[in-house]
Amino acid sequence: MLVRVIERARGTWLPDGPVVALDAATGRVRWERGWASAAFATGPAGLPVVSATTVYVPSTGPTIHALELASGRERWSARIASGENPAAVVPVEGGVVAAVRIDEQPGDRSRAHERVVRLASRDGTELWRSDRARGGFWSLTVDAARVYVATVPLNGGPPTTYALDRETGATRWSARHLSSLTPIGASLIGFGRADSDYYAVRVDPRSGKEASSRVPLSPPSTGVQPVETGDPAVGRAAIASDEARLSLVTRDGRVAWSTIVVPDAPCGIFRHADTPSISGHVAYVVVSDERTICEG
Amino acid sequence: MARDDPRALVAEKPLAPLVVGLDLVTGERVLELRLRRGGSSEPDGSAAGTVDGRTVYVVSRQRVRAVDLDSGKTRWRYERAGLSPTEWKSPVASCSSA
Repeated sequence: MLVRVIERARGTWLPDGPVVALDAATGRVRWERGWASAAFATGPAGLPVVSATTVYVPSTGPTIHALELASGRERWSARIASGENPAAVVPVEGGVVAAVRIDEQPGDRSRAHERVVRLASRDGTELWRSDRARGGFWSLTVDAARVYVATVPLNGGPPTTYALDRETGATRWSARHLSSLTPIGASLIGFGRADSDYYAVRVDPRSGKEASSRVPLSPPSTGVQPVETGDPAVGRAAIASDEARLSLVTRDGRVAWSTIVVPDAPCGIFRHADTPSISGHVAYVVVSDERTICEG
Repeated sequence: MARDDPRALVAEKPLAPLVVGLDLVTGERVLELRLRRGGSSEPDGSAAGTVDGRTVYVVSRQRVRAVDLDSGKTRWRYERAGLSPTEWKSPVASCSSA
């Protein structure tokens, strides 16, 4: 397994801490790879993602590092923009897609745009680039034909999602209100907000148009991931999660179940669930406590 | 102790992390495992976890633990300053094969 460490130096946290590969059976360190860090942050610059024999590590810059999974040796690194925001990274066949928010003035988030690039796995060559002035990059998902980018404007405007051609980077469509898109096989499920209402809806991946009625989700989901349920009648679906509840959303945009996983917390404790992980047709979450101020 | 008593702010003790498993088809609970507290280096139970097979890997402050879901026993632990369960959800990215 891979873990990323944030290090402390000169009284501040450094986001570009090393990645450590641990043997899943024994916990022994197999390799460790670190980088110089100039910026500071409260957490790591990004999680490493694994594709076949390569580990992609986002760092500030923003830069993508490609490491050999077996040894941690760096194959290449590619700087995709200027600035200190880390990139989101998704491996695809023959490379990787990365997206980042670029602040036009450091520290001024009200004027920003996002950049999406596709890099070749062999040497990090940039295959295409897409720049758009939406300003609040939120999530990046990919299916066999398209790259979906969700933005939530930092000035409080409605979220917007757009689709790029996976091979060329050309814009295919854009839609308002959707704040994330989750490909489930050939289907596409959108999660959106209209006024104060949150919902899930099936979306036509070719046009971006809504293809089912909106199903209310309460409370709003903060994370969505595709899953294989193991039930032939349900097949592939999506798990939507927030800090207290998991919901299963089917390919046709229906909420099959919604279960609260976080027990009530006493005053002075903030109790929350981590992002779920899926193993053996079971969704697991770790529920943990943090001290907070009791205002009761 | 009154709610407005300053000592009330520390009266409730955080619990150790809890692992909950839900059946993907029905949403019913199939597992609920309270982990043992990791030690004095964990001031509260804040943690993030990943399950693979019958092992949960829990990242909390300063340590990673591999815990057997059937017995609740720790298989191994890796300790290091700078590990943190926070901020691991951002930026958000995922992929799906057709």
